[in-house]
Amino acid sequence: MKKNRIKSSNSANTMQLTLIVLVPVIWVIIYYFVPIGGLIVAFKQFTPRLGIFFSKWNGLKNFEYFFKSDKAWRITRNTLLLNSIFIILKIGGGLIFGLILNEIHNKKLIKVYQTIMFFPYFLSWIVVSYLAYAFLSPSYGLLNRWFGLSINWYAEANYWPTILTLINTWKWLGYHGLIFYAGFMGIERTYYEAAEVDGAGKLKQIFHISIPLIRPLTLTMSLIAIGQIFYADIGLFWNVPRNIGLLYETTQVLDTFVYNALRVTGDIGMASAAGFYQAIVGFILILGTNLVIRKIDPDSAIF
Amino acid sequence: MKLKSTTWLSNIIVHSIVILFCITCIIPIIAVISISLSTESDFYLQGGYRLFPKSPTLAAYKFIFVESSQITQAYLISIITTILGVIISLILSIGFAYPLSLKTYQYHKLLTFLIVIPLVFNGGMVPTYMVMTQILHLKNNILAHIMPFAIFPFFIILLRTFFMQIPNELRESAFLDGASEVKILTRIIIPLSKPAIATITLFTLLRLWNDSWYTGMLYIDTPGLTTMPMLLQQMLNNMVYLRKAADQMGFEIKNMPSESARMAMCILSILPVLFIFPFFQKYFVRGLTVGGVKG
Repeated sequence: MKKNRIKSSNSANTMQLTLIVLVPVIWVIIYYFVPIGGLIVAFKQFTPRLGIFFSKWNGLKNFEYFFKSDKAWRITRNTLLLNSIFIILKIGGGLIFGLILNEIHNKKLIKVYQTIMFFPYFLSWIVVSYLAYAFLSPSYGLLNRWFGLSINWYAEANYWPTILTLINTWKWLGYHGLIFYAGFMGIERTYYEAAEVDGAGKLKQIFHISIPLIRPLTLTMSLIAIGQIFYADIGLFWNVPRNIGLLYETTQVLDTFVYNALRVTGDIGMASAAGFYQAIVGFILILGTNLVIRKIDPDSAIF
Repeated sequence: MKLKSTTWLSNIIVHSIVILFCITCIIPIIAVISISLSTESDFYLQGGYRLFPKSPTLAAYKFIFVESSQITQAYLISIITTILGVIISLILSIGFAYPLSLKTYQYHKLLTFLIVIPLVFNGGMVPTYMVMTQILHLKNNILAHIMPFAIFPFFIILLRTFFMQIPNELRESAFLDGASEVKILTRIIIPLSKPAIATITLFTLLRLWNDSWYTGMLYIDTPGLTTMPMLLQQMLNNMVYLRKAADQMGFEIKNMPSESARMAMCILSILPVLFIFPFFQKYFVRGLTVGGVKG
């Protein structure tokens, strides 16, 4: 019996599909591609009256202005330094917790632990900033009360790298722990059983089986994170330190700086120059790390 | 089968570490809940917050529901933007992902290009702000809370991967029956993709509810479109400054809700999240590992 095969790519279907995809595509172009063109604002002296197109060009003046100020170095340093620490702790901590969770065999308990560990991920940074406030409030905060201190946490910049690191790790540990846990679950039990027969104890099993086999996942996660290293989590850096000027020395990062210049001080030149700087460096990093990922584990690369 | 190397010692160590971390996850929330349930004057009398309130009271919550229309309005706005946002996001995302998943579609390669580029290059805050305000004129518009969350390239790719796993024969036989693409999409593809769609619905919902402070910070100046997170943000800002001022000058500012009321607001804003939390558990790991690792 002859099967009447209908070509799936006839013109009527193409038109229908195009109609379906039209509005989404328009939105993607408007929201993701047009702003790329908007980067030219960095090279212009922008006035709201003249708008993007008619504002005058001023070459590299904005960049000169930005890089000559002491802020450029400070925010770059803060962004890179803090993000590096965050990455090490997130990935390392996630790996360790994944390992630990993998050692728990009580199914019910695992579910409970997972649920609780995962909870910080669900909270918005605003909520987290309130949690932090409950501890760090100079007059009433739990931290000062419990340990008999009277430190004005919101006024001393020196404590904040540690504070931010602890809070960030707290928020992400459960999430990364789960990813690694899923990774470890994928390792064949037979490896461990064979190792046991050969007389390997728990530690040996971890170091010779679990860790080597989790390498691809670890590398992929690390590289993806490194690709993003020039972008700070603005939720953390804006809400928890409350945009307090005294703390800028250690808490201001590229993203909060751009926002501040854009919306608070109205310094569009600074904002766009810093934003452009971030976009270019960020792009190079993402591209670079993706090329490395492609060499290691081609399935995980973006393209 | 339990391994022999899993001794009672290793069990204790393992459980202890996890329990310790779980405790740190819970304590901050308990602290905030307790502050919200405390009598305001206790703070001054006892020199600070406590983990368990000395004289518990529902005064803060009463204040919110009875006397503050500002808070209930913000809650309402949050709910509206979240629900609208999820609907719009699903329509746009599925609409993009479906043709993207069809290799036989004429513009398939173009669509792939369009969705991959945003993963590697982002114009940044300033140009995006310019587009939203100067070109789209969405300043102080409710869509400013919704559209930035409408399409996430990451989720589109997740959907695409899922759609691609649906056997082509189903499409073919639907064509034989004379079905249009829309019919195929709604009658066949979507019902078969429930896990993937559920995953992105939950994630989008979470973002829409939690992160409206960001869109608010950038695009909203009118109180009428203030959402809960925005309100919380403004309150906290004032709280830190006001406490310093109040301490120095020794007086209370009448109109600001008390500390306990603000913590109560915070708790109220978490409630919807808590509600969808159990559903999340089911889809999360799958969504993460399929989408996150395999890209």
